Amino acid sequence: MRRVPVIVAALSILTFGLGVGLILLTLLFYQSTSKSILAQQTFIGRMQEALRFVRLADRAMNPFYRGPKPPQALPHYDLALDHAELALVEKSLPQDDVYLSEDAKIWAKGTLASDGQSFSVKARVRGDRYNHWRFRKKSWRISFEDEHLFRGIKELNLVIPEDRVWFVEPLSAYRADKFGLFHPPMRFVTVSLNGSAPMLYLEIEHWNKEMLEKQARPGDVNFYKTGDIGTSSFNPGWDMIEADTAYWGKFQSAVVPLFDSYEEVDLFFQLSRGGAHGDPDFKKKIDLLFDHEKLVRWYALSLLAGNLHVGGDNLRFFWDISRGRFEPIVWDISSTAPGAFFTLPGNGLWSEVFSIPEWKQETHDFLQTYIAEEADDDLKEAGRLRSLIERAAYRDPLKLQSNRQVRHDLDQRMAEVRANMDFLRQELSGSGVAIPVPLQ
Amino acid sequence: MRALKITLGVIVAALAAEMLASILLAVLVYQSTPKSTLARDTFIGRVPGLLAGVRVLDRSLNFMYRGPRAPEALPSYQLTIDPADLRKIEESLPTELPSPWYGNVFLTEDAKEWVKGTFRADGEEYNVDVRVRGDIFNHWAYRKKSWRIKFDGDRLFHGIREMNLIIPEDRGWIAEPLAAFRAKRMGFLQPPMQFVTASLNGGDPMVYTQIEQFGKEMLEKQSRPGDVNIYGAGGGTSYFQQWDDVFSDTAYWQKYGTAVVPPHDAMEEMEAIRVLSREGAHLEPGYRDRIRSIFDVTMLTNWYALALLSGSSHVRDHNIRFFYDVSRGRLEPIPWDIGLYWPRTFLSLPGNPFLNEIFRVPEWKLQAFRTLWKHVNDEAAVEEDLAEAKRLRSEVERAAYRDSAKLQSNRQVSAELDERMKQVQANVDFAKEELVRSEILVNQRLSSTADAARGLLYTIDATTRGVSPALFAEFSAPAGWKADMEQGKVQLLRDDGDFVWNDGDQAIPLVLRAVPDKAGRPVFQTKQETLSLVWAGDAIFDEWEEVVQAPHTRHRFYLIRRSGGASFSKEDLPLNLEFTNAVTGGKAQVIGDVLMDGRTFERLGEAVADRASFLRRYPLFRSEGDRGVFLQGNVTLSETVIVPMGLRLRVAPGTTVRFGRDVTLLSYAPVTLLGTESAPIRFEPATGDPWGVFLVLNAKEPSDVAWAEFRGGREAFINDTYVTGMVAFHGSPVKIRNATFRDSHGDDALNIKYIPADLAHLRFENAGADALDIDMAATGVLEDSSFFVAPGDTDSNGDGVDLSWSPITVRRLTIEGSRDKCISVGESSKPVIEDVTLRGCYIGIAAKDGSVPTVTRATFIGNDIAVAAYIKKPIFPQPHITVRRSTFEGNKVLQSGSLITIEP
Repeated sequence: MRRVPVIVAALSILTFGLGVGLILLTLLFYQSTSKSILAQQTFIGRMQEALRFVRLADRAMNPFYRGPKPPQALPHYDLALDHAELALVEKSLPQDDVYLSEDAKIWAKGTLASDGQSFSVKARVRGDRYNHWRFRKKSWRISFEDEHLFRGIKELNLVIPEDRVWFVEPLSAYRADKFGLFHPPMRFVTVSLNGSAPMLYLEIEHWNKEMLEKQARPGDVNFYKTGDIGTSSFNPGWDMIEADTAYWGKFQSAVVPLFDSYEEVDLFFQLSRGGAHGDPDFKKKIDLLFDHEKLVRWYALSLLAGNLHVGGDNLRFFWDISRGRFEPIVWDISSTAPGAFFTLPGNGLWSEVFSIPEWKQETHDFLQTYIAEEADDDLKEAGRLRSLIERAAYRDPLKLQSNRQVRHDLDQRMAEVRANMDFLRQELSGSGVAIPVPLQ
Repeated sequence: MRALKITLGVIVAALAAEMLASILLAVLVYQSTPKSTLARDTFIGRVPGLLAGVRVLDRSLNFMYRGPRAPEALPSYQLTIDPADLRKIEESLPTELPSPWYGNVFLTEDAKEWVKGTFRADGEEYNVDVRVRGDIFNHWAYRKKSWRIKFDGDRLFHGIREMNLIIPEDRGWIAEPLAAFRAKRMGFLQPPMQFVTASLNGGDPMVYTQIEQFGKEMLEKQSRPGDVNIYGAGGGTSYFQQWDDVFSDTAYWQKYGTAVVPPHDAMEEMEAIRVLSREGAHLEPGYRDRIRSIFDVTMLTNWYALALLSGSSHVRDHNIRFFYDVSRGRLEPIPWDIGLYWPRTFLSLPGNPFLNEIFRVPEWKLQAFRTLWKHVNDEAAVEEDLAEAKRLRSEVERAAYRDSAKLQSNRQVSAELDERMKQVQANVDFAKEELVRSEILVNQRLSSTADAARGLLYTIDATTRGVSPALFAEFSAPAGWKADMEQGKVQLLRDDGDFVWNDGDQAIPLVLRAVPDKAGRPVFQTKQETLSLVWAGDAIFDEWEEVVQAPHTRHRFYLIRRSGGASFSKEDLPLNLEFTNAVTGGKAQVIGDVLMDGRTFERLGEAVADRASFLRRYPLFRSEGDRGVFLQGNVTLSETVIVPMGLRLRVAPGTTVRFGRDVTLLSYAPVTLLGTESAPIRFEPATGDPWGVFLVLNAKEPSDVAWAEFRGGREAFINDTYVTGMVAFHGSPVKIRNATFRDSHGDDALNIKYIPADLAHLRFENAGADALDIDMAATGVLEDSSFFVAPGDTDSNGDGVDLSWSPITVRRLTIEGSRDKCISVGESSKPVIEDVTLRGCYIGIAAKDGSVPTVTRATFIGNDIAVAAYIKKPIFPQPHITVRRSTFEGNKVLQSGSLITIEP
C-alpha cells in the first residue's frame, strides 16, 4: 500500500509534466506558425464557434480596463440612419470579398446631431478593406447637404481608429503641422448610431474642394486620387498607379484648363521613372514643380513612423494652379517598428528625389535636428492623444477588439513612436554622413 | 481509498485531455506543414516502414474499386524475359542522381540495357529486344516499369518496328490519348497509341499506354515520307543539366530517323531552329519569313492552341519532336507529351524558347487564340472531346483497378481519373473566360502647339494588359474632319515602335461607318488588322516562370494632318475610341481613359534653361554679372518670355517694355525693377489689345519694384499656372514702392500670393476688376496708397483691396469709386485697418467668411453701404468686424449684417 501514493505521485508529476510540455509545445507552434495558415489551412479556421468563444472570453475581461480620464471630452455625434436603408447597406456588403466594390457603396439617409444642431445627411460605408465594413462597427462616409454644412464640412469620414493605428495618424498630422505640410483635418469623436452606445472614431474631412479652401489652398484644382482597387482584373487589389496615368483619378478637377486632363500626372511619372534623377536638370525640375523642402519633410515624417506605408497607393497631392507646382498631402503614414534605414523610400518619386545625395543628407540633417529638439514634444503629444481616446476606446462596446487587444496595441504604438525616434537618433549620429545610394 | 480513486480519476482525466490535445496538436501540425516538408525534412520520412505502412493501408482497400465495364476489351500482350536478364536490367538501373545538377534519378545511356525476350499477342509470338524506357525513375524504379520493345528482323508486329509500353499514369491516364485525339483532328501526325494490358513472365495483366516509337515505319504508315530526319530532344547528356538545352546548342538534338537524300547526316534544320529561338529573334528582320519558309504556321498555332486546351506548360525542350518533310521542304511538329493540367493564365509563356519567340509575334498568337476560341465555343467539338475523355476513361478504368503491379492505390487512380475529367472541362471553361479578357488603358494626348503646327494633331497610346489582343476598331472624328479624312488629308498612323512620329509609321486604311455616332460625328473604322492590333507583351515572371504581374504593353497611334486645316475644338475631346477584343470580336475592356493636353507644359523646359540658352532665344536681353539678365531701352515683346529659375532679371530705369496681345513675361527668377521718379520703368501694351501678365513665380529670393508703371495687361494661364493679376508675385517675396497700375483687364491689377505684404506708395487707376488682391500674406503692411476708379467707368466692377487669409496691417489708403467693395476682407483674414478713406464704393468695408478685421479711424464717404459682414462661402464661420473711431458721411446704409461692432 505504501507504493500506491508513490505511484500516484509519480503519475501526477508525469501528467503535470506532460501538460506543461504540451502547453509549451502548443505555444511554440502558435508563435512559429503564421496566423493566416492557422486560420485558412487548419481545422481552427472551421471552428468559428470555438473562436467566437475565445473572443467572448477575451472580451469578458473588458470591464477590468478603464483607461485614464481624458484631458478633454471628445465631441459626440448622434447619427440616425433610416433602418430600412441601413439594412440595404448591410445587405449590399460583400460577404467573402476582401475589398469593397462600387456596387456596395450604397447611401442611407439620416440625420447627424451635434451640439444641439441636427443635419440632414446621407451615409455609406467607406474603406477599401473588409475591416472597415464587415463587422458590427463600420467606417462611414457622411455627406451633408450643400445648404447646411457641418462646421463647413461637406463630407467627412468616420474611420475605425484601429485602422489608422489609433493615435498614430493624428500624431503624424500633428508632426505635419510642425513641418508645414498639408493634411486633411482630423480629430477623435464618439458616435452613437441609431441610439447605440458611443463608438470611438477618427473623423477625417474628406478630400474635396471645401477641405482645401478652408486651409488656405485654391479649391478648383486637380486633386489626384490614387489607391483605387480592382480596376484591372489582373490586380484585384490596389491599382498599379505607378504603371499608367490611366489608373489615376481625381477627387476634384481644376476649372481653368480647357480640358479635364492628366498631364500633371504624366509629368509626375517623368520625375518618378527609374533613373530620372540622372537627368542633369532633375534637381531644377523638382525645385520647379515641388517645394523640395516639403518633400524632405514628407519623407522625414515617414521615416519617423518606420517608413513603410507611403507606397504609390497612399500618395496624395494636388496641383496648386496658383503656384504651378504640386503640393503633397500627408496621408496614412501609419507606423511600423524601425526598419532598415536605407531601404528604398517607398514610391518612385521619393526613390528618385532621395537618390540626390544632398537631399538625402538634408533629410537626415532635418531629422537629426528635429529629434534633438522635438522628440519630447512628440512623445508628449502621443501620450496626450492616447489619453484622449483610451477610456473612450475601452468603453466602446461595438469595436471588434477586446480591451486587452486595444491596450496591447496602444502600448505597442507608444513603444514604436519612441523606438523609431531612438533608432533614427542612433542611426543618424552613428555615421554622420548619408549613404548616397539606397540599397535595393 | 476514496481519495485515491478521485486522485486517479483526475489523473486519468488529465491524461485523456492531454491525449486529446496532443492529437489536435498533431492534426494542426499536419495541416499547417507542407507534406513534402514532413516527408523530406522531418523524422517522418526516416521512420522505417511508416510511409510504406500508410501505403499498404491505402492499397488494402483496392478491392472496393471495380470501375465500369470497358466498351471493348483491351489488347493483351504477354512478354517473357529471362529472369536472369530481368535481374541484369534491375541491376543496371541507377539508384542515385547522376550528378548533383540533376533533379531526379535519371536513366542515362549506360543503364539502357537491352535483353532478349518474346512477345506474344493474338496467338502469335515474336522475338523481341526489350529494355526499360523513360528518363525519370517513375518509369523503372518500381515493380511495374515502362518498356521499349523492338521487334527483330523482318517480323514486325502490326507493322510496328518499335513500341513503347508506358505506365499510363506518366501520361496522365487519359491525358495523352485525348491530346492525340485532338491533335489528329487538327491535322497533326501522332504516333499511334492505345491502352493495352501486358503480362510479364506470366504475371497479372498490367495496363499500359502503348505508343509506337518514332521511326520511319511509323511515318510511312501515316502517309508521310519515311526516309527523313526525325528530331527529338531528351536529357541526360550533360553532367550539368538534366534536360538537354537544345536551344543553346544544336549538338544536343537526337534523331529517330535519318534522311537518305542529303549527302550528309546533318543537323542544319535544327541549327535553323536554334537561331530562330534566340531571345528577341522575333524582332529580327526576316524572322517571320524564315519561319514561314520552314513551317506551316497554322501547324504551329494549332500546336499552341492544343497545349492551351490542356492547360499545358509541358512542351519544354525535352518534349519537342519534329520531322523534316523532305518532300515539302518543311519541318512538321509532332505534339508529344502535352499532358493535362489545371488551367493557368494564358499570359504564361508557351514553354520553350522556340515557341516563346513564335508566339511573341502578335498575329500568330492571335491566330492560336482564335483557333482555341473557335474550338471551345464549338459545342459539338467540345462535346466530342468530353465524349472521348469519357470513352478513354471507361476503356482503362477497370483494367487499371485490376492492375495489381501498379504503384498507386485504386483510391489514387480513381481520384486522378476524376481530376483529369474535371481538368478537361475546366480548361474549356477557363479558355472561354480568359480569352474574353482584353484590358486596355488609354492615354489620349492633344499635341503641343509646335507639334500641331507640323501636323501632329493627336497621339493615342493604348496600353494592353492581355489576355487577348485588341483591335483599335473605330473612332469618332470631329464633325468638320469628314472630308479631310476621306481625302487623306488627315490620317491615322500606327507608330512603328519607336514612339516618335516619323516616316516609319504606317497609315491605317479607314472607312467611314454608315452610321455616325450619337452626337452626329463621323465614325471611321480601321480596315487593316495588322496595323490596328494591340497586344500584351511578356508578363513579369518569377524564377519558376510563374506570372507575377500582367504586362503593360504600350502601343501608339497618331492622328496627323497632311494638308488642310483640321484642328480640334474643346467639344471634340477626348475622342470617342472603340477597341474590340481581337479574339472574340466583343468589346475590349477599357479600364482607364485619360486625356493629356500637350500644350500645358510645352514651355516648362524654358523654366530650367541655362542663361546662355535664354539669351540665345531672347537677344533683347543681355547678360549681367554671374547670373543676371538685363533689359533696357524700348523693348517690344511679341511672344511670351520665360526667364528661367536660377537667374536674376533686372530692368533698367527708363525702360519701356511693350507687350503684344496676350504676351506674358513670366520669371521664375527674382526681379529688380528699380526705376526712378524721372525715369520710371513702364510695362504697357504694344497694340490696342491687352497683353498678358507680368508674373514672378516661386522665386525664393526677394524681388524689388520701384517707380514702375504697369498698364493694360490682363490674366494668363501658362505652364499650368493661372494668373489673375496683371502684375503678380506668387510665392515670390517682393517689395513694391511707388508703382502705378492702370487699366488692368483681368481679375486683379496686382496680386500677391503666399508672401508677406510689403507694399507702399502704390496707385491703382481704373482696374477692370479688383485693384489689389492679397492672398495668404501671413504678415506685412500695405500703406500710403491710393485706388481710383473714374466715375462712369462701366467696365470696372471690382474691389479696391481684396484680402484673403491675410492678417496684415493696412493703413493710410484712399480708395475711391470701386464698383464693389473699397476693401473686401475674406477667408479668415484678420487685418488691422487704420486711417483709410473709403469713398464712393458700393461697400466701404466688407468682412466675409470667418474674417475678423479691426478698423480704426476710417472715413466712409458716400458709399452705398459703409460696413457689411456676411458669409459668402458656407464652409466658413460668421465674420466679425469692429470699427472704431471712424467717420461716416453720406453713406446710404451704415451697416449690413449681424456681426458688426461700431465703436465711437
